[in-house]
Amino acid sequence: MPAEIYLNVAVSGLLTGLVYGLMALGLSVIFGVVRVVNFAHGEMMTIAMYLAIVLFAAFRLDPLVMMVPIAGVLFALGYAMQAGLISPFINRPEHMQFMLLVAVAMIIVNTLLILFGPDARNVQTSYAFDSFAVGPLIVDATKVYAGGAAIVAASALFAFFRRARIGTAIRACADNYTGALVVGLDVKRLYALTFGLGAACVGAAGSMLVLLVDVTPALGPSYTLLAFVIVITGGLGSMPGALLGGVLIGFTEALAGLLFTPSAKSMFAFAILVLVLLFRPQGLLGKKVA
Amino acid sequence: MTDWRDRVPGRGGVALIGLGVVLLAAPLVANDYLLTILILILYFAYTGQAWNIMSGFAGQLSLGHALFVGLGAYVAAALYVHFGVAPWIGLVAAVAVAAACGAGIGFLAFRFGVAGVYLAILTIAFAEFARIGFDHFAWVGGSAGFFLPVATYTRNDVWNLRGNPTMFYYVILALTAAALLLSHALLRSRLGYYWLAIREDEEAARALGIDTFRCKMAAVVISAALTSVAGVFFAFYYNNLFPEQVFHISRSIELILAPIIGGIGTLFGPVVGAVLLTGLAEGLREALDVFGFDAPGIKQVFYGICLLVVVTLLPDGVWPPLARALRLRPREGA
Amino acid sequence: MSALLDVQRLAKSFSGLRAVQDVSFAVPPGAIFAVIGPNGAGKTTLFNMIAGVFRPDDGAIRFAGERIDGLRPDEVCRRGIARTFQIVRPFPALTVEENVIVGMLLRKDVATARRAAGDLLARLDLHDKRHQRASTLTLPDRKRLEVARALATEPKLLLLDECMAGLRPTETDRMVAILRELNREAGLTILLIEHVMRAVMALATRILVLHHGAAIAEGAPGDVVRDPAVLASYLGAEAV
Repeated sequence: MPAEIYLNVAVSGLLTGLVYGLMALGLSVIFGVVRVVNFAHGEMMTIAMYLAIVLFAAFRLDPLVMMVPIAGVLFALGYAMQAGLISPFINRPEHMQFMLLVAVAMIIVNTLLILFGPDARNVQTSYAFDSFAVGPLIVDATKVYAGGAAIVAASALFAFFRRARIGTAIRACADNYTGALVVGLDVKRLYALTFGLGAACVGAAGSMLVLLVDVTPALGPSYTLLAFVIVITGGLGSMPGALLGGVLIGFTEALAGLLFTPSAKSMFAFAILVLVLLFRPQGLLGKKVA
Repeated sequence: MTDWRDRVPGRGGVALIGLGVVLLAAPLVANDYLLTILILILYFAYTGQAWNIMSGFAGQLSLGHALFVGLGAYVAAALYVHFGVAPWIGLVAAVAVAAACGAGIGFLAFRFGVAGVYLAILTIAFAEFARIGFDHFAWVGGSAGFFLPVATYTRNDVWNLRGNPTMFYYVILALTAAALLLSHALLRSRLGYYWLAIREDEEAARALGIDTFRCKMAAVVISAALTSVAGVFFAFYYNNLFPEQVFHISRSIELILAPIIGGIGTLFGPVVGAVLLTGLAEGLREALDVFGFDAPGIKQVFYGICLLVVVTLLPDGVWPPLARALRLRPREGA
Repeated sequence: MSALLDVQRLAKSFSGLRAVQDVSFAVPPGAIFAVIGPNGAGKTTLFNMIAGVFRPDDGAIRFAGERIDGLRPDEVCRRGIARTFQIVRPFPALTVEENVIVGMLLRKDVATARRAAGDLLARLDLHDKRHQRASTLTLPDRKRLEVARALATEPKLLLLDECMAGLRPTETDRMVAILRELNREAGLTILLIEHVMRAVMALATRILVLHHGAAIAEGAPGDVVRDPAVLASYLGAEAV
């Protein structure tokens, strides 16, 4: 196969990977700070995706334009979930946490199924078939915009954690729960805020991803899994790691789809996950847990 | 555990015998529809109990148990369809394959210290691997599915598991009873005590001389082996296998609902959970039918809500408080 | 009389921080040997090396003549060394009796363990609480359970990690009495880390003092507590 095809597929994978990275960033923030295993992560993203679809179908509103409001809705949802439902589970055994979120995930997926049915839907914007030609590269416009939006959203999140006081407070909670309590931080509220932020990431990622894939309720679980693979590969608690992991997985998936059969591409993600779990459980950029 | 027989008053023993009689006599009074419901309940009780051994007793949470069901199903089905091997013989191969797989996963996980969330995700990954792998496995039909020959049978052929629902009912009833007896025996053995210790605090268990690696491996292998038997049953009962369904993560989740809702780590939890879930779900479906309302996914939403309620309000499951209320006070494993 | 536990030039560092350096001592059978020292002196690290939790960077540990450094915790226990944890770790969902049975299963079969558990619990004043879930116990009871469980494995050497911490004086005295009894009647050798000097002086036949990971004094209790180096480590050089 001519080299251009590989290049195109690789770039395409990279761009999609940026969106995956944003989704995983949300999980990294949640898992890294609140230490909750958000098994409903992908399902939350499908909520955002369907929201985008509905808004587009009803009002012709471009998902990328709606990215901020949709992220806002997901933020509220995430905040409410943490404050209302998950909070008492912070100190309970891990398996209880998963089960709680598995239950939430089940409810979300099947409610979406009841509301929208199993058929695939998508969003066809005016630029859906445009592409950019850069030398030998031909890249879909949707992918470029989505990738770009992902970078913008991720940068905003990084800036928030670096500069904003609340961001620093959240990082403090992650580093030292008791210490944070001792200095008077309202940890419960900060946790809810963090979960909301993670959900917002996922909301933003959803509005981007809706341009790139067909949406069915069943996507939820596969993206939850993908988010975990990315976060574990990139390194738990490492935000750059989540982005790096996302890009890596997007890239590998795209190439695997090209070299082998498309359906086998998720096998690669899993193979990577198994290898990481066994040989470098802290991930590529994560810190080794004592 | 102090012998539960010492602590269960005569009332509990009588109840158990009564239940046994009812179950044995059920096909005489139940219609085919009710029988299929009972088969479903027993199937979930059985798989739930098999899962419970690894995840409830030994505390190693698996979210990919559909892998073992699928392996059992495909191995036995393939041997039957391609070589005419009867399922009871094919079962031996199915168990061997599943046990080997379980051992492999266990070895990788426990040698490398993978536990908790990470173990759960690892099990999901392996199940997904199998799902995608079998999609491409042409010898057993791939994604198009694998089918067992079905014909109208004039008489029940237990050896080849061809027959009417009543036959399948007794088979699954026997399997479930066997699983309960085995679990009871395991809980009273040294291995059972060691599993509970590992579940509670692995490091403290090690400090008492327990070889936790070996015990955990035993749990995975036994659980995998038992689960694969359910797979064999599944294959011969439904007569069609699709990787997308058999290995899917929703199968794994479905499998663990009964034991978690009933009471993880208890002896009767999975059975109680299976009865509750399946019974209520069917009841719900009937009720909705009356209103002419049917949508795919309602049952799953219901299951999700049940799970949510149990996890938030009854973390030990339904059985322990129920048993305490009925003055049966089970102490098995929890 | 050859030592039951012989520690030679033990050393352990964590990321450049030297937790234990060049520590050597010998515990004769039947002794009650106390390891004391200010916080951060390396006592628990020393313990953890003997118990098999950490592998020493340097040095050797011999138990009844056999090298045990580098063995896994369960292997160490099987050879006859039992340990308690500084922060007690009972099996919460199991009853007091079941906790002890688990320990006994190392040397006994299930039926025998079930019968013998009651007697061991009686020795530790836990018999009437034997059907209670471990999670419902008070701290002193948990500490006794921790000791009972360790004893259930029939050790020759018992490692006690600050088992008096958090106990009231009367409870401390009771624990001291129980340990003295076990030492006297069963010949149990005890190696303990302790801050509560009341217990140390009542129990120990020999004391080792650690400071910044190194041994600064060893000997009979009376001598050690008057040693200027020891006083300096606890109170600061100016105070001596």
